[in-house]
Amino acid sequence: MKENDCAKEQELVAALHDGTLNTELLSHAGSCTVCADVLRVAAFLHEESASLDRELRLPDATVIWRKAQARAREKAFAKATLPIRIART
Amino acid sequence: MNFAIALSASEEIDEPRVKSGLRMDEPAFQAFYGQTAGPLLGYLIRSCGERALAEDLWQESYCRFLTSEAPEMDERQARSYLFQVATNLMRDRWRRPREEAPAEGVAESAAPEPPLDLKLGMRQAFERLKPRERQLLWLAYVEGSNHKEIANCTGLQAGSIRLLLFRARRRLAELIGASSRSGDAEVTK
Repeated sequence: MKENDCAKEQELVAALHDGTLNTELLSHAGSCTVCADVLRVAAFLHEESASLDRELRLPDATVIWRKAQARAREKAFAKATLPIRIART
Repeated sequence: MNFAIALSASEEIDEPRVKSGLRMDEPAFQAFYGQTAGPLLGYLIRSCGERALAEDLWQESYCRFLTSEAPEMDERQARSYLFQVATNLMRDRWRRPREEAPAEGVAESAAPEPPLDLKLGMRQAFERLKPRERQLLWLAYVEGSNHKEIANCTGLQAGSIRLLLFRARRRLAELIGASSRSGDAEVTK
């Protein structure tokens, strides 16, 4: 096995993401360099993500929806008037 | 533009979906937004390292996602596609002339690394990674994306993701003092 590779890495990542980490994987991570790093880095990033979730104030979805609607109308208008603009030039 | 009139006019053509020109209807978007808004903004903030820029890219990502003509997709694919749009926007921003790009964009080149300080705060440590490294780590360990999804999102070769992820993880682990094992420094050199 390569130094940068472990067969259990994806299993560990999936377990961390799904919250199904068991003692067997934890025990393995204790003796595997790759998985120990995965565990440490993933724990840090999850804390970062949770910290951001607590501090972020997101606008209502309607704000984004209205903006996208306006964009869609602009696109539709530009598409519909393209022949006219071409004829004028 | 009279915004009130524009909104009123839009409501008339909002339904059915085909007339709206958007890829989903409003209730579906409300649900999708509830699932993705926080994670996407978190990804952009931590990858860009610049909050105002991240918020601009975040709004633009949703607009482009909603007005795109990409084929129908399930919820996971739609989420992955949204992150791909955001990642492309970040890359476009970094490709602009240096004065317009965020400071982190410069780090995409092979700049000499400053000496590691194991006492760095974790967030500072993450900010010292290259933008691409931050993207890879966030997608893998926060989003739970597999290598194929990361490749789709970043435009990198699927076969190279494992090694790139390993290098990024190793570097971050060192920065946050995760490793005091002898010889580990050799791995990143």
